[in-house]
Amino acid sequence: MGLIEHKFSENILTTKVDGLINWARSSSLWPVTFGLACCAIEMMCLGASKYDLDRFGIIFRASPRQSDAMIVAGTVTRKMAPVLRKVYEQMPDPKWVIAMGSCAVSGGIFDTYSTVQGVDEVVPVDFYIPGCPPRPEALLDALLKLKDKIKEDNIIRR
Amino acid sequence: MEFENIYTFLENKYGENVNKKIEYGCNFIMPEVNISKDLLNDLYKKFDFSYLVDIVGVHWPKRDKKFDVIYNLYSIGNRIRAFVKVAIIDEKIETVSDIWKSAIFLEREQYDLLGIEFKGHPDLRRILLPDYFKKHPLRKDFDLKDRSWFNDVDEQGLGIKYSK
Repeated sequence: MGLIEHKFSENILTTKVDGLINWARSSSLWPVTFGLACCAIEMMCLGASKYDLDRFGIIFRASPRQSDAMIVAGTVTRKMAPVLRKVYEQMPDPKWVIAMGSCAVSGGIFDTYSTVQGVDEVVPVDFYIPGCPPRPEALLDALLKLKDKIKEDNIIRR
Repeated sequence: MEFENIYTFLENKYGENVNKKIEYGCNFIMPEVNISKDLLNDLYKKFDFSYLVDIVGVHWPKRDKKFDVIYNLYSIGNRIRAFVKVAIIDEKIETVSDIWKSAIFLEREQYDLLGIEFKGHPDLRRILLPDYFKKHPLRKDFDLKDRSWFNDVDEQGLGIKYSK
């Protein structure tokens, strides 16, 4: 750290604000559970012991007010869309959204009268995972990519 | 107790107003719409059809009697299943919710998806689709991909605009 190295007493580390806050945010990512259809089964599988999300500090939180990411897992209908938007708006900033599965990405096979054609009509989406349903590994990959994205975040410029 | 005994009773009571067929191992009773409620009441009271499994509606757009209402009844005591199939002309039929309480939800479903009106139903509202939806999606003339109603109502006042 150049000039200021060894100028302070012990137990003091020098780092960037971005580095500290992004490290904290990405290391304890709490997604709100928004399982809407069969994709939710794969999401639960990812949370269970075989894939074990807890080892990444990712813990599903049942309340939007204490979450920082939302995994939209399943078909979003017209009747459900305002509810999804309300849950999203209840989440504190900063917040991220993952659209999981073909239905959440684009409506999937449900080109019908009741299905919203992609959750990005309702909330802004950071990551799209294709698949019907995606493997748990695919969702895990998206969550790890999301952690990388959070690590590159700039707090002042946001 | 066999299905034949039940049908003999119904035939004696209702005569030409009721028909039957046994197809695919299923027992069908086909009454005229004006006696269907009395017939269902008889099945409930005299033959122990205490379990109304389901009510199904079918749309036949090319037929004069445009709708079928099919009651799936099961007698737990006699171990007999019977389908009562009623053809209706003007989308209206008497409710059976005073005989079987479970019919309240089952009839609401048929009202929602097919637009069949059950006269005397205590609470005839949509059950699956939102209240502001106007049409009946299980009718054959329904446009399956019609999403034009998405922006009609902003029920939570969130200002969501659907474009696709």
